[in-house]
Amino acid sequence: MAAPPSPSTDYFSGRSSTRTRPGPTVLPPQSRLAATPGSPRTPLLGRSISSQFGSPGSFRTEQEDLIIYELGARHLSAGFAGEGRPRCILRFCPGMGRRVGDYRGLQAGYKSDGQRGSKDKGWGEEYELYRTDVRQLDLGLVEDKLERAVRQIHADYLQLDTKPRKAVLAVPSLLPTPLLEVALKVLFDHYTQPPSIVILTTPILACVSAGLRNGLVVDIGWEETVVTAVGEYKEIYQRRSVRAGKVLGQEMASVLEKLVGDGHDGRDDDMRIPFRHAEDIVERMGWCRPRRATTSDADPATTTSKKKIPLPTSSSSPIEIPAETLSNPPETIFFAPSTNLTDHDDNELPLQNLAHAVLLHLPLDLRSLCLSRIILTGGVSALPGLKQRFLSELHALIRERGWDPVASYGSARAAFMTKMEKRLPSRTKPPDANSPPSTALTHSPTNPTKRSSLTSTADHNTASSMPAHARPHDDLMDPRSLQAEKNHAIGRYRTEAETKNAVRGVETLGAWAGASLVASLRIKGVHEVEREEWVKYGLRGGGGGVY
Amino acid sequence: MAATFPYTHYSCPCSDLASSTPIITPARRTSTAPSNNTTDEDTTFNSHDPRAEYALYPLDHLLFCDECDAIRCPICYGEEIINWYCPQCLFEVPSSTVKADGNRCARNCCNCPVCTALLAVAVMPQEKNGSERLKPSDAAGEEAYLLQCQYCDWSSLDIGVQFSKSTKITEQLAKQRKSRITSRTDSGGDVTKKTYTQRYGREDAFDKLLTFYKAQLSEAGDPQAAYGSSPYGSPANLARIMSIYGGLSVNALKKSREKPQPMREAGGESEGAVTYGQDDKLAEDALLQQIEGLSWEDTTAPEQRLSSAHNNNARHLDDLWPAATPLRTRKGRRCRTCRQFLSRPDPKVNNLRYKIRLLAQNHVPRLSIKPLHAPSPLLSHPSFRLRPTDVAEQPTLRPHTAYQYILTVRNPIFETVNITLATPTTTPGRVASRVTILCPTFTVGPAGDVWDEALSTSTTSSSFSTTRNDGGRQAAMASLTGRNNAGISVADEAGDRQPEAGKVWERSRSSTSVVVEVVAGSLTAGSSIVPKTEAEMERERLEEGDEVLEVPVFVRAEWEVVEEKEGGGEVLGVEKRAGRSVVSGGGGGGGEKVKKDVGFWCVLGLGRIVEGGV
Ligand SMILES: [Zn+2]
Ligand SMILES: [Zn+2]
Ligand SMILES: [Zn+2]
Ligand SMILES: [Zn+2]
Repeated sequence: MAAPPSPSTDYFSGRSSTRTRPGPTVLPPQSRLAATPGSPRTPLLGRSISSQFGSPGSFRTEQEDLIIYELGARHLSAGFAGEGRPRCILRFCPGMGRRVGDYRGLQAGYKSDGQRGSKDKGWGEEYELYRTDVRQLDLGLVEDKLERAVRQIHADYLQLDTKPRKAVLAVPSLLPTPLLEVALKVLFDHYTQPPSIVILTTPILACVSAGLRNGLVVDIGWEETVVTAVGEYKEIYQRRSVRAGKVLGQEMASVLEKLVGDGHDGRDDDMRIPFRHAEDIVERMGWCRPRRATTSDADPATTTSKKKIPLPTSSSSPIEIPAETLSNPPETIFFAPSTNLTDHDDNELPLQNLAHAVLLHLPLDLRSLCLSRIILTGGVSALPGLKQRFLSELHALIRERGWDPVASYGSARAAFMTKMEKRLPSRTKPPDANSPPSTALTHSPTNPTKRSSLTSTADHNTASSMPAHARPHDDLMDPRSLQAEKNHAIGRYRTEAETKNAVRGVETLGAWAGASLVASLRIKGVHEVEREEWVKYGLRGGGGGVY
Repeated sequence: MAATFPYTHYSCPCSDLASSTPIITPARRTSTAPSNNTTDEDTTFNSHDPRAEYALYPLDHLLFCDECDAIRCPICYGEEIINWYCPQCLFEVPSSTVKADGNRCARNCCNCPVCTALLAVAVMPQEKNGSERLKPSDAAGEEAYLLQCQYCDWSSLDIGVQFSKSTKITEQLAKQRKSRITSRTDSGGDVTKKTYTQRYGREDAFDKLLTFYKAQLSEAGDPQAAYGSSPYGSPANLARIMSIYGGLSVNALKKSREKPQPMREAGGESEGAVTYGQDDKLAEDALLQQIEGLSWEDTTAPEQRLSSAHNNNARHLDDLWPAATPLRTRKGRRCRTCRQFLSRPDPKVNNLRYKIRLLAQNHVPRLSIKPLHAPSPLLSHPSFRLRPTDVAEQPTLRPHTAYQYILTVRNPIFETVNITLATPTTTPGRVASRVTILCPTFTVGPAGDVWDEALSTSTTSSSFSTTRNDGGRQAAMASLTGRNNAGISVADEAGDRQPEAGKVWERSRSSTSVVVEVVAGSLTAGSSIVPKTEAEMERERLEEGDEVLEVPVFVRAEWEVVEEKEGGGEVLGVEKRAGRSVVSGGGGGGGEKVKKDVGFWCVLGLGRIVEGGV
């Protein structure tokens, strides 16, 4: 299904209709020409947030409520700007797709659709709003689902009067354009009639709600895990892996099915664990065990307890499962300890390798900033122990590989090492991150250009093409000022010793709270879709949705 | 697909699925052949399309706009909240406080966090009184209260909460929660505080972050332009807030004001940032301890977590916090095309009447279908099925077997209506059944008042002769039904009569019945019609609902209205029911005849097809 052309709304204009996914860096359309999507870019340090987002007169009166929506593949949450939590989180499930007046779901003993659906369709397909593979997707159905969800949210939770209210929509970055278009269409068509919708992406919002300007956002979502390096509230570089919530649930189901199957004789069909139950088990009982050091120092950190878990399939009593087993699926799915790196497809890197790959692509100063600002977010990140485990895996990986872009030299390894030892004594200390970035800057083979020149050219590029309000301060463009700026900032960021080069995680309140912060601070978003423009151009060719 | 067969679902023409209307050949009186109006595959409303679930409604869920002469569904009407009220105590909440209260009852109504039943306020048993943690304001002799679930034995003591007075429970709850959050930041190592940190750890982080960002923004310059109207705009306020949250001193703030600075990042917990390291032995131990103590019964189900914002992060039952009852609303509904009210309840909460209510069932012909040879006509009506076992007795259909149904069209308006039905010869979807409507074009007489109708159904012939009607209708009736129809009492003769093509089966004052023949399709052969594609396997598998035999029917109703040009009373003859009996089309001195029509798809659910062996 090709994306319907949607030419002149701001947000869409830079994209060709053949690509369903825009480049990762979200910039105003004018600057898109200057920026090749996906290439690493030095963050523009020292730009104040007011010059980046705000223009005089962009503030609104205090009374006005903004509605914040966060859209994901599995849920839609909504609430008001300035509040710490959404008023409601609506999960998509098959029961929502019933006809009006069909109350079968309330009937006792009704066998849920999910059981059969999970067999006939993809795993959990009925529980998701969309898949990122839009070619297989019935966009009309997505629209219907979303429309009903938005209607329900307004009727049951927001309950607003008819005054038009602006809206903020937080979406995953690289949400396929047709899906974004559907979301905008539904929100604009809703009878609350938002005069404009600001679009923000979740990695940046996760950063905002962690209180950070830079960071490595690891969003363990439903269909894919997205690792985004954020520098100065911009998405710098991004990579994704299919190791995420969906396969985790599947793995949990298969582990348990195997366990149950061993006990009984294999009546295959009877042993299936439906999607919903598998997810429930992950959410309630799943956990992630601490990293085992490869050198087996007597590991006390194990539990031998067993958990009773009711299974819908074995109609008898709940089965006993060792707690250890319950930590296996996250282990194999996210960190894949048993498989060799070379066996991995590019789109299914284990999480620590994924993060490492992203960090490798970053310019050095941003890398060290990101390393101490690792933000885990997304639905699965709430799994007990997962955050800790991720950090220690990443730490171990960095210790092992350093910042060498080549993963394996094969037979050339030994020769290379001796060569490097001769040339760069500091490089051979594997945790390179221990050395301060300023020295590493001059030595590092991974840094293609001198930082200062890179920065200034990037500055020139963007400065000339950006609208005035988005332009950074002109007086900060020369390298010396930048350096001064940076020195000044040293005390203002965290105390350097503890933050600079250690792997460290920062808690985030999540994308919704980030959007709420941004909106309540009256920061003007870069992508604001006005209603008039949308009505005029946004729906071209797409059936009269305006009533 | 509703639980009880047979059913009729209507689709609003605003749906994409229903927007295609079949070309109906005016097949009046060319009625000898089984004239099923064949429609193309792609113009048929496919009730097995997943989108159909979103486009079909029972008739009583639909409204009708008499300005636009169109059906209005929840998608094409807008809602306007008239008032907010608590469904438990029926207290009407003024609109100004609704949002601040979180759209929840601000008085005493709370729902159980475990089972969502209403919590009751109970007096604390006396002996427990002293030992529990009480607020210092409580005098020793005073009574204490608790919330108790009548259904599942949860009580607020489970989370260590009790109340000093029995009113304003919601407010007291909020206060106690807040005090817990703040108490954890006090340096104190005792056990309760530690668990509080675990439970409510991040709850105030948002406020801290918000304060931090606001301070930073004002520091970064142009505070006037950025948020002139915010209460934080004034330096005095800001200084106060900064000192509360332990940020920069006022002097430092002033100093940094001199030059616009980039906003810094939040540092430390006081500003809402929480960090964690990578090799934390303490955290590991805590994790293992947590897993050790975990049991399935103590963890929360998704429904409990999503019940209120407080509980979104609650993993344990102990973490659940009772939530005040969400408010309900009474809404007016407006047509989104012409903005007129389609339904509007009386603004008084305890008055259940509607001031305006344009229901579709008063404007649009109602279709109902039942088997020609029904075993027990009384029980077959869904309203009489009281137990689930009744519902379970679903009609099952066998493949390749012909079934006959009586399709009755009832006319709610005071005009004679010409009905044209169109249906595809084979039902869409994976199981193709053949459908034939024996008489697709007919008229339905006008609605009268209730007594007329009751009399007319019992004595069919007499009511027909007494009905004053225009000649056209009588002629149509004569040609369609034949002479003998009028004299037949259906209840007796139904067994003997044979349905005839082109003949109306039964006619009463305001309803007409025709016979529909259905040959149920085969569950296995259905896929062979579909051209083989690469997703062949995918297609051959039947999904849930595919075996349900549903017949899409396009209904077009046409009638004439005498529209009075001058004179205030009534503008359109049809819509206003008040006090009118029958509008005769021939009469009307100053009026002008206006043709009106309504067309829509509806779906008749007949039953499930079950393969012979099963
Ligand atoms: Zn509609
Ligand atoms: Zn109440
Ligand atoms: Zn309860
Ligand atoms: Zn209207």
